[in-house]
Amino acid sequence: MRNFRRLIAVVIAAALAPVSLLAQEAATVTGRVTNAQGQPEAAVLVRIESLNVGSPSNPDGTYRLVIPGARIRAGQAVQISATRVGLATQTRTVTLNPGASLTQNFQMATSALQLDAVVVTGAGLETRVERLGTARASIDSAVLARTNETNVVSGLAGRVANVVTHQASGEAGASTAIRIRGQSTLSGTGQPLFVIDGVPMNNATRSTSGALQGTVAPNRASDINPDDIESIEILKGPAATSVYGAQAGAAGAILITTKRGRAGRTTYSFRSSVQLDQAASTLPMQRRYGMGTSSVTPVCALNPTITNGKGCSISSGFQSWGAELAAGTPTYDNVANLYETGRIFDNTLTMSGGNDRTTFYLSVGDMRHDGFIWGDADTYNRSTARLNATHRLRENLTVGGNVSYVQTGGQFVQRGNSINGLILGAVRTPPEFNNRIYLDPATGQHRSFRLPLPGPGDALTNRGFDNPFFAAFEGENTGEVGRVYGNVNTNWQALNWLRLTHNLGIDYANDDRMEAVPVGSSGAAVAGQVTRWQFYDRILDHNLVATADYSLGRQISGSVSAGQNLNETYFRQVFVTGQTLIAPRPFKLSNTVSRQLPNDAESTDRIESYNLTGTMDVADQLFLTAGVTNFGSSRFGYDSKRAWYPRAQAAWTFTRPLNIPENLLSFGKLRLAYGQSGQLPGQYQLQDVFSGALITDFAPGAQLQPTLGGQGGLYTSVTQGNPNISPERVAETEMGLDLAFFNGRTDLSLTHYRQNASDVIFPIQLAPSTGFGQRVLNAAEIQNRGWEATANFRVVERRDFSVSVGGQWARNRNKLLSLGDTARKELSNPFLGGSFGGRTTDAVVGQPLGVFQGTDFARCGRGLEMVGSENVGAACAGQPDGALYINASGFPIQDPTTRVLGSPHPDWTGGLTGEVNFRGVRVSAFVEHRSGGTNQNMTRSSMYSYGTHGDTEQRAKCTTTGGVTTCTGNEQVFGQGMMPGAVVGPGAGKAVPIGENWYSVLGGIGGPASQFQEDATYTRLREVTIGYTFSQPWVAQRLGFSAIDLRLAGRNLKTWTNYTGFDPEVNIGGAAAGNRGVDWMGNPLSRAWVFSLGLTH
Amino acid sequence: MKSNKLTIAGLAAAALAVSGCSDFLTGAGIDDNPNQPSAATTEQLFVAAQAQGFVRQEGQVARSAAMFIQQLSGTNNQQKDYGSSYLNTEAAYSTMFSGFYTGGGLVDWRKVQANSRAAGDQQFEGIAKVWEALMMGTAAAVWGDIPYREAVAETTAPALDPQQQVYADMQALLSEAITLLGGTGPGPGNTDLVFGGNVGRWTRVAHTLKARYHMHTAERLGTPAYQAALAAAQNGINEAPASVAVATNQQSPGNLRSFHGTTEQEGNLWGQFIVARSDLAAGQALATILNRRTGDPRKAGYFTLINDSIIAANRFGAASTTPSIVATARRPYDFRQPIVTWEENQLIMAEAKLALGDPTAINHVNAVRASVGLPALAGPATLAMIMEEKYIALFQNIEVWNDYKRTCFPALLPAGAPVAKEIPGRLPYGQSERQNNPNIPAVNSQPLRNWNDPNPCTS
Repeated sequence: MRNFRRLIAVVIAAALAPVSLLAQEAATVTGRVTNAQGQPEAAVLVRIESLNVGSPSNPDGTYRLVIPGARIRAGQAVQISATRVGLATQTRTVTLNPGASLTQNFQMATSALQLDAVVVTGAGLETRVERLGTARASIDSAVLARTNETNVVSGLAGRVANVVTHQASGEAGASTAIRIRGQSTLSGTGQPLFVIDGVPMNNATRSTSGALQGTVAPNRASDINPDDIESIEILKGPAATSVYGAQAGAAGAILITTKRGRAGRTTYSFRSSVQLDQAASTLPMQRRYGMGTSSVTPVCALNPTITNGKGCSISSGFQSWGAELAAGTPTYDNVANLYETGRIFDNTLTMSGGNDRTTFYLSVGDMRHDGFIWGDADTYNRSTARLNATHRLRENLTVGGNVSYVQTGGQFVQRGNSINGLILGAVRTPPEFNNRIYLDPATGQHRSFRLPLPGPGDALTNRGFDNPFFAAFEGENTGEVGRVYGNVNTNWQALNWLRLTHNLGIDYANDDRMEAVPVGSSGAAVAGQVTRWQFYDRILDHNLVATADYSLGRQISGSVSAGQNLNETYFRQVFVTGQTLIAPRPFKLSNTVSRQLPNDAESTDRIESYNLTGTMDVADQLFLTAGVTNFGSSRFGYDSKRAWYPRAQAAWTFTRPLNIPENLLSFGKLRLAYGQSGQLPGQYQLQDVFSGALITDFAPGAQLQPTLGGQGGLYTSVTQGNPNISPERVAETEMGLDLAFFNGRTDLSLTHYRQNASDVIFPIQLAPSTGFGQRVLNAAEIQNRGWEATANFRVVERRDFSVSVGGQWARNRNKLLSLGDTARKELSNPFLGGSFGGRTTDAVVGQPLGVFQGTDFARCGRGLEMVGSENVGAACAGQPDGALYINASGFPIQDPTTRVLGSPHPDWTGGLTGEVNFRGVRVSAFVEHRSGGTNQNMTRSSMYSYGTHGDTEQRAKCTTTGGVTTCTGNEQVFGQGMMPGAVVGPGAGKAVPIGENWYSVLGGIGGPASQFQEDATYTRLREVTIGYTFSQPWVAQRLGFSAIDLRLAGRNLKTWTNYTGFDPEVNIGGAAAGNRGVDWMGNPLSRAWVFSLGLTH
Repeated sequence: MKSNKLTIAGLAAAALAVSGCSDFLTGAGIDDNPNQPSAATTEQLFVAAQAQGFVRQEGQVARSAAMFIQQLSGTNNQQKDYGSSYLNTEAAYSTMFSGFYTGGGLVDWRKVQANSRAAGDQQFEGIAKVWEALMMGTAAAVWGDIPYREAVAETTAPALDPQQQVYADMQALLSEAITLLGGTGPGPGNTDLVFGGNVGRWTRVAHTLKARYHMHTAERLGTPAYQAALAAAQNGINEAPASVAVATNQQSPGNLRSFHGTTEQEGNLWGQFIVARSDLAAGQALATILNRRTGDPRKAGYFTLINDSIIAANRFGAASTTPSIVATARRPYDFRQPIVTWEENQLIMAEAKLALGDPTAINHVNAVRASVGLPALAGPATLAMIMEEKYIALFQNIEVWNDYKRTCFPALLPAGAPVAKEIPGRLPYGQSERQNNPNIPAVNSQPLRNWNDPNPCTS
């Protein structure tokens, strides 16, 4: 009891302590921060480190620090510093006296390479930029804000050398995939590890019906409000990610630091922006020929009839190969008509401040996106709230917590392979049919080009493909996420040479999806269908680091850190499809007649890793770091649960001993780094198991469950277990040079790296005749080699006028060296999980990962002899390699051999930024370029077959009599107008008609895929911004704000490319799949105009 | 001093935290799969293997066969490419080929056999062997030389066995099965979705299958094959349909028919496919034959009629008016697809007898005709007469393609434009098998026709 009383007394004393401190007289430091041109610099942190007080400068450059009198001795000299990312830190000495006020102004110089900045290097470790032995890649909040992207991953596009993004589409809520220094994994999606404030976070992209169909899905990192981000560091390869063992691997790590409060006056800011976004491109459509085949219009298109309550339905054999439309027939662009102007409203309110003991940052944000698909069926909304706070409990002990709550809700439209989606129906619709009238005015039934005049009895008639707007407006595809993530952190300076930091992180997300199609939809869902998915993700992460500092004399000092990380990532999903709606609404499983085989699965993934890192600074010019990680994963084999991953780095500031004049070479650093890391195998691949999953014949459309007639069925899993999976290893050597010239007005960084992945884990395919389809093995070797360069040049730096340009350039060469043994040369479709029409993205030895394989036309120089009944070998004797074989009828023939057709990887990528500042008006532009690489334009091949593509407007007239088809007109000669180049064979030089006979067979989707490989080179004007900040005294006096910031920006305004599909960046899988460059019935990217207003108080 | 104690306590606590958990990375649900069973009973494997068997018999091989011999026509998408343009790539048949061997395929038939042998259940083992013979005989007919003797065993690269050897192995396997079926039970009971464990029916199916495979070798082997086929068929399926309705869709209880439920995922694959993807319409050859007939219930039994006619899709997959599609009666989810039938057995006898000069061949043709209410034909039987009956009676059955390869009946005009073609004689090996088994020749080196089909059909 006495103890309890004493406790209360202590608590009261503690609570009163700050009050008693404040009672003494405080000292005040005020001042103004300006740049070299004398203009105010906002958000510069002015700080007295030794007293732990600090405050950011206001938009007018002013700051004010109040130091409690009790904490200063009269006449105490302290160091006061001003720092901000991108500026060289300035430090002054001031003398404090209780009750006294003093003024200290700062004029900031731009820091070429931000050498003083503290940079996080992962797993709770940090260092200064100058000490870094690897290339630094970072993005700060100002750059991120200028991109106007609501998804932080899209904001990285083109900014950092060898960090290549792929946006799935411009739809609201679509994912963006990221790839750093090429690809070095054969399984999974190859996405980097996302770490926020030291805690690994969930960036899963959970597609529902698979990457090829269903709706777009967000990547979960898009749950972050970009306004909350202070900075992003990107660890590119194993030399930098080794500390994460096999968690980040060769895919890299994206370390995000959120904003935090600073001691000082509480500041409020409000930013509001409006974006108008549009489809950035459309597809070429023909508007001259109507529905039909062999130039015959289907009978019921001419004479729509209704018998027995049923409308006349048009056979699936009728595409847009009918007769020429009569003059005056209204026609429609059925692809362009899918889109309109969408809107994004994005608002964020923040409040931050604190005192010498406690700081906080509080933000609430709300983003509402009504996407560019016609109507309001495509929306994505995100509401976020974040509180970051720290409190210094004792002089040597600080505790803090960050917590963010996110609620997202979206409504999507199916696309890709989905017959209940947007694109498949749209690109098939003949030009004379207007999809926007999607319900029959008389009957209210689903009206589509195959059933243009539905009768009252057509509720359950299969339309083949949905009218896109019926799918968009009558279906319901929703997703709702509630998510909480954050951490509790402790920083304890236990002894003056020993510091402990602990970070306990959590990340919970509940993702609830529905895909519902109404009665009268196409396909198996004709009677209505409801599918519900529930995804539950949970991450718990414990990270403890102890760092001991040491010094050996004057010249040598450093630290030794030991860390422990325990991580559990849990995932659970349940999904159930109910078929045949009882009543037309509601879309509820309980309102369906039957349910399909449910999917109910969970996984627990655990990591236990230990780190040891030592650093040594020699003579303030040579910085050495070495470390080793012992990494354990539950996914590793029963007898190989742990692996060692070593690393070492050196950075030498060679300009320090050399004494080169600063106005010539102001800074120079050589760096060398080596590191190893790993890649996690897939989960639960150790055991042999049995499966009850659907047996596939053709999906969608023909799959059978193994449990039949009430009898449970199980079959031997097609994947054989491997109890001995051992950790895979990626080793990287990186070397580079950082230079700054002319007093830091110009800087240049060059980096070269060589990455080799060995023992790469992948599902090795087995000959199915062995009874198994695949077995996971450590067998492959993959190589990535590349160069990276970044440069910045401040061309003009004058008062009221400055111009700067910056750029980055990178290339990566990727190659699959081996698949384990010499006999095995290729691995089919490891990335997309299925082919479509025989087109695959494969792993082929000697080629980059993810090359497109498919067939080509028969050509010389490939050792072909007899192809079918054609003697290609004889015709090719003495003829040039690559010559196209033309048979007696004048057409080329298909060579059934599957071969490599192209690679989706660019040859090089680059970005160029320009910024002009004139009397406070800031104008900036950013251009991104990708050179080389091919896309498989499957959308075009399909549209050729359908006769809707613009290219098919030039066509021969084909007619069929008695089963024999004759075509006349549009005569072309292969080797000349068609597929120019050398030709051989009996029909070489013969003019042949090109019409339905060609496009619907060899020249379309069933024909050789080689025809649809297209160069994906592009240059894109990613952003243009013009902005001005009003921070003159009258703003505060008249309007009550310290600053008003106005910005007008354009996003993706223009793309220069020869690519004929929607966009060369589009990829159907998005971040849900590891492939790239597959253009299959997706949607275009968006371009937007953005107006934004920022208020600060 | 106090602060020192706190520091020591704190560091000790931290050290304790570090040294915690020892089994963090192992255990049920951690490194062992929490989602899939690691053991399965003989019955569970048997049910799934039957499902896999139904998928292979009703799936893309059957669709392609029906399009090649123009019972159906592909009007759209892949079906148009495969069936009307013969753009049959190895990737397109990869899943098809694999399914004969992997999960529910040969690998599980062998497990069912081994388990039932160990349990001394000869009837169960016999049924599993008949199934194996049905599946692997089908694969041999489609692909010719196939991995068989070394398949589903130790080797990672099973050798290709010559087609004639596989057929010989099927005969031996069926003989073993017939012996076992006469042995001890209890057999699979209700888990046998086809015959509910009725060994008598399985024995007769085994004999019909023997007859079928002897016929497959007849173009090569001649008279001995016909003799063997006839002998086997005489012990084959003998339950004639009890009514015209039963006969129209070959639903006699003695027929080996697939089993399906009323939901989509338990549904007949033909039905599922036609509901999900309206890519198939009536084919030219079958439409012509059925349109010529009067009073044949299979005309309306197989296709939707337009003005009492079957409108076939043309070579491009379309007609000038909406073509007929597969009739409603033939596409409910729970339709039991006939796979080995009394009709086939009768017509094998007819063809064998004709080849052997037995004038009673006509009786078997007329037995099939009578079952669907058609008048008897006057003898003597001709090959055209027999094969036309079989072509109709084995609608959607892969076997009709084998009949065409042997007899070139009916006369077919192959799809032509823009490149002249011939009716495909086999399918390319699946891509995954070709890529991973060095014994599989490159696509271009694979033969156009199999060993049992030495002579092409001219159109």
